[in-house]
Amino acid sequence: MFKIIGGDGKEYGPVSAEQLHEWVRDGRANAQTLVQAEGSTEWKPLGQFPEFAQAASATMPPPVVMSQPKPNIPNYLVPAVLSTICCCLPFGIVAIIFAAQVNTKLQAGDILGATAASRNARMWCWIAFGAGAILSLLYLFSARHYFIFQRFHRFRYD
Amino acid sequence: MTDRVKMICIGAVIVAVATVVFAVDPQRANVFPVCPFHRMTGLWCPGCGATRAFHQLLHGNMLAALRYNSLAIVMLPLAGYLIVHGDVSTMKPVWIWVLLVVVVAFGVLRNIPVYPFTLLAP
Repeated sequence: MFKIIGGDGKEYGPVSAEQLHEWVRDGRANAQTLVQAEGSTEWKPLGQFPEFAQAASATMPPPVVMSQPKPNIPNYLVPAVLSTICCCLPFGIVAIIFAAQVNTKLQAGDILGATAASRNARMWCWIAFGAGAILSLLYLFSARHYFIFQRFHRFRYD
Repeated sequence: MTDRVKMICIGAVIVAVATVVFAVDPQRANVFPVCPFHRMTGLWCPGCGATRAFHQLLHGNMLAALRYNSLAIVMLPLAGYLIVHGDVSTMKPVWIWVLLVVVVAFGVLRNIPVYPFTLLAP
């Protein structure tokens, strides 16, 4: 039995040698695919396994990507919209733009780009939340707030 | 955290917030946090008036709710749908861009001090 790491970075298996041969034929694994034989902890390229080397080299320039389960990359859309509306508009908008980019890039198959956009979306959500929190705290301790509080002014905004 | 626990948590938070917004009139009491954007710029942000709008909605005054923040009220069914069925990570990107444009456009329009745009301001 063998486990392999697919072109998508995920682990597949354990599968039998016949199944692995079939994957090589289908172009789902190639000589560079990392394989771990059962009982071993070492990952080696498929080409270094004598039993697969020939089969793998026969299909030498193969497609690298295995069956593609869509990777789950969070886009942080919900916190982005919430931070736009409740905390800090300008930074929140930046977060929404990155959230949209995550899905756009994911649809185009650009997984690295989507991951980067996802990280940016998360970062800008935090910046927006932080800016909103700091501004609110500053306001809470400002003299103007106490003035309003004492006069029990009607608030014109929320 | 399982999806079930997550849903219960989200539900509990919504019910808690709704209770407070129902009980306290944001026009009268200043217990709600004030929009930092509005405070600094004097401009209405796309979310300004949302608390008052939800307060009115919970008291059954649909028109008053729409007057305070029509976007928030119109978006409410959509938000509900996303919470129940939502997988925003697989959402078609074009809808996120549409959402962005709608939110920004609403924010711009409600700051135009001319009728009928003044209807959008809280």
